[in-house]
Amino acid sequence: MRAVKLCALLALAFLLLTLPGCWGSRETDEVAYVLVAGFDKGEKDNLVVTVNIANPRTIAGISGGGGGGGGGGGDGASTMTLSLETYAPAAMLNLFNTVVDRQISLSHTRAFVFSEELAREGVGKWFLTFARYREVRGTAQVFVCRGKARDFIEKNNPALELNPTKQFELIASLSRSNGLYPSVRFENFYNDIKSKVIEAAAPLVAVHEGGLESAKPGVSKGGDIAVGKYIAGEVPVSGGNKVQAIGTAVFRGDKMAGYLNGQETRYYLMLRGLFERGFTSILDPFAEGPEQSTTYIGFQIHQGRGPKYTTHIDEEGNVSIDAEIFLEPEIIASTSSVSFERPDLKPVLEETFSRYIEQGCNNLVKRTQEEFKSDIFGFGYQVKRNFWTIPSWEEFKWMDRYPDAQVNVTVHTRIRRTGLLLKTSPFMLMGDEGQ
Amino acid sequence: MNILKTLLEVISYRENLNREGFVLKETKDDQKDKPAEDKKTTSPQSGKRSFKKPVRPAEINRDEHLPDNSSVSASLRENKKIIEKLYGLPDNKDIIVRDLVIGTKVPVDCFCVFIDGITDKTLQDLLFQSLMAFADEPAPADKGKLAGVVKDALLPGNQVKIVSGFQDILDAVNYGDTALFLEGCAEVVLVETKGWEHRGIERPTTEQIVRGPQEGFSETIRANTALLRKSIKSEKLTTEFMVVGTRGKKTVAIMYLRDLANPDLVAEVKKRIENIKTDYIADSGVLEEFIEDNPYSLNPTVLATERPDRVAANIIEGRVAVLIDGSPFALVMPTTMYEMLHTGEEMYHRWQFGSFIRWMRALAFLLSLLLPGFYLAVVLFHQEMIPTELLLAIAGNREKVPFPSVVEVLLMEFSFELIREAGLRIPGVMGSTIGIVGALILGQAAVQANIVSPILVIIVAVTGLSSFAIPYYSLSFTLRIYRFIYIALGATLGFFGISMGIFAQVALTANLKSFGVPYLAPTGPKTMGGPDIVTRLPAFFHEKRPDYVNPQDITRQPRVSRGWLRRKGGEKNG
Repeated sequence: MRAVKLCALLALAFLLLTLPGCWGSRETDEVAYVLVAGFDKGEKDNLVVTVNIANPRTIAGISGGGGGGGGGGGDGASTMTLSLETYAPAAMLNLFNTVVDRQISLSHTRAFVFSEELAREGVGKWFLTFARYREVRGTAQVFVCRGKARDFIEKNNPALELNPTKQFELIASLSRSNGLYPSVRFENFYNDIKSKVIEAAAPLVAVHEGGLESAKPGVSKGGDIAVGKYIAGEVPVSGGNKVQAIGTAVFRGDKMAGYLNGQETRYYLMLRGLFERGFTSILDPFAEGPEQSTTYIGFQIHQGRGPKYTTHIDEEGNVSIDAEIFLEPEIIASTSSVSFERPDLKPVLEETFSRYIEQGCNNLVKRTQEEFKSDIFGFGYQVKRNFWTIPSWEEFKWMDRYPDAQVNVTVHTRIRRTGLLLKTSPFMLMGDEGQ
Repeated sequence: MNILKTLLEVISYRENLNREGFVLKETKDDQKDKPAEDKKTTSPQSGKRSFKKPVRPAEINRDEHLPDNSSVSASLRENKKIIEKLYGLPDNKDIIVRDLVIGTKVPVDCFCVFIDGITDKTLQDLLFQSLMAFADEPAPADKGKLAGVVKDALLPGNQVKIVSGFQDILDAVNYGDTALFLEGCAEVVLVETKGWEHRGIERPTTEQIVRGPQEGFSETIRANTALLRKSIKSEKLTTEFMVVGTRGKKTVAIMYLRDLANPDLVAEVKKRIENIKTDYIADSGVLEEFIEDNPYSLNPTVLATERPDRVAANIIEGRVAVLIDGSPFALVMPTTMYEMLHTGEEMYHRWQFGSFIRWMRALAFLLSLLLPGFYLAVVLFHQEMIPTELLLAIAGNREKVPFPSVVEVLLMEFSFELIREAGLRIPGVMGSTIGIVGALILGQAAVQANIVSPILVIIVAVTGLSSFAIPYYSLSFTLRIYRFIYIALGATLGFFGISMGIFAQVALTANLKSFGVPYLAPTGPKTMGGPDIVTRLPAFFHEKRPDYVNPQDITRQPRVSRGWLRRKGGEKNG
């Protein structure tokens, strides 16, 4: 009797495990993990989808016979790139299975790359699909690619990384230490294209075929002094990966409206309070004559605290916004003979630096107002505070009024450190002026 | 010709007539079923079980080997005859009957009965000396009082008793005493001469600690009670003895503090032990099974330890300890699951270190229970929740493994359990081989043969280490078995299954009781927390004894237990 009961109990337990167990389990060797997905405008159909699928065997370092010895790749590429022309992103998952013997999974897709052409046409409808599909990660990065996303993914070859996942993860986090491009998550981008207070922006990437020909003239040749005067695809780099990320794609609604170069991206990040660190230079304010364009002061800028905004709306609905930015640069380079460490000279340098950044910020705001008509800074969030209810705010139609808003940017600079040198001692061959 | 014949004989078939050899034939009542007979009459709660053994007619009229405790006669010869019958002399060779004459002025005939090997020879020599050589008292006229005189005047032994029933004599002699039968006296003198070969007090082997007392219990109950006495020097410490078992009698000691332990608890422990009807209890493990509340649960509800200091600490909290002769493990009750994760050593370290190892152990508890199931759930159902790099590393290493993940995990877990068991059973001489074989099978070879993935080896190794970090062996065993349930749940239902499993297990565990105390106290039913549950607070915060033990006195020390911190009244104290 007891034996019967026990058997019944065991049978019940077995059934409970087997019947409701949804059997949705997938072994890791039954799944193809898409690491990067790229989207181009199709020629005959809507989209050309390019996926970069991980080859776990190479990544784990077991290629030949024997066991799991040291890492460092084996023979065979660590990823596989495939392209497909189809009408919608979800359809690709099945169509790719005609050639890939494993189930395509987007659960580990780290980056979504959209070509400029597609972005200018509008990406909203594709995002709706992704936002609904359960496998897509909200934390994936979104990029806009100058040129074809397909080329970008095919030519991407991160020499230092085993697979592009880490590459894109590092690219995203590097945004904090150079400020040359923003780091935008899928979920944020999706929210921003829907939003009525802010417009979306995405980091800009491109393929650069290599070579130094694309270099722009330096300041001594009458060019710009800014580090980030380039946009993706122009940075004169020779060797290494052919893929580069710099600049920002500005959106209006779900359509791309234009680019910002690296330097403008920094101003953009500063105005949003997202700028963390970055090197920049200004010209020596005391230099005269021929030296004027060859003596620089180099800084590592750090945004001391978030920007402070003051907004005002008058009766006629004219909006004025005062944004204050707080920067704390550290002197890290100086070709000048002036000892800016001196307490009486430091304020001069701070003042010059503030004006320089201010000018850049104001120019950028003007550009977004006139050229893009797009509030990528999220000033809307500040202006919105003047309204009591959402309907009255929506009625205000901030997006249409943004180009006419009066925006003043003020920069406050405090030089906190002067690097490891406390005193500038010029080289003797520069002349005998002393300090 | 002769050789040919022998050869033919060797290769030709001949029937073996004595095929069976010795056969053990069934006796009339083959099964030892005195306990079954008792169960039928005495335990009403067994009615729940519908299974009943039929009683054989032969069992009902069994004659006892001796009428209950019949008295000693005055005749020496008669007594000797009875003793010979009781002990089955002269077949029984280690029972010694020694005839002697007491050297009083009027010599008295007498004989001694003892068992060789469990008596102390020096003590006996002294006994015989004093009886035969130094007895110069005149023998009393009334021979019936002889026993009294011998006890009072002649014998120097430290425990001398006078009894008259044979059952008492047998019990004492079986336990190593010497019985002295005197001519013309209907009483017998029992002299304590216990002394046998035994293991000394050694370091505890299963519960090793770094700091703290290094003595462990041994197999002699008197030595064990003495160890506890040594730790708790108090006249309130009570040791009660009971005898359990009908055929092989075992002494059971119940120790508690008379003025602290809850009297109901003591009564309950005594009641449970008294009511055990069995022929023989080999070890405290068997006793534990007889008295614990939930024998069908995997969780142990009685704490067994071989460290006297730990038992003493528990007695001081108002608990009851039960020791059984022949077992180096004392049982402590009531206990909770949290206490099974203690070693007592945390109290000997500084409190920060104690708390640290406790938290480590809590982590080990979870890992040991859940890690393989968790791994399976992640790899099979929730691949998106681990970092891509890690997933690809796992996936890559699994590429060449021909089995599904579940099989892989079960294979490794099974081989690990095998190594554990084999390592325990292997004869000591070959001990070192198991380490090498184990490490090879589990580590390098299995991975190189593509049977398992290297990540899994790590998982199983960490799980194994964690289960070794559980200080109580029984609890560690519990986790080992539950682990397989979680492997099944993780592999079929993913995290959903694991969370269901945890829910069910928590409910089942919270339902357990150990001698009336909830097993998960003080969290199971949320009661007053203590300074010594998981985090071990400094000793001067241990103001109360555990609430759930309900001792007679809950206060352990006053609120200010470090009196020197108090400033003296008149003095100015910076």
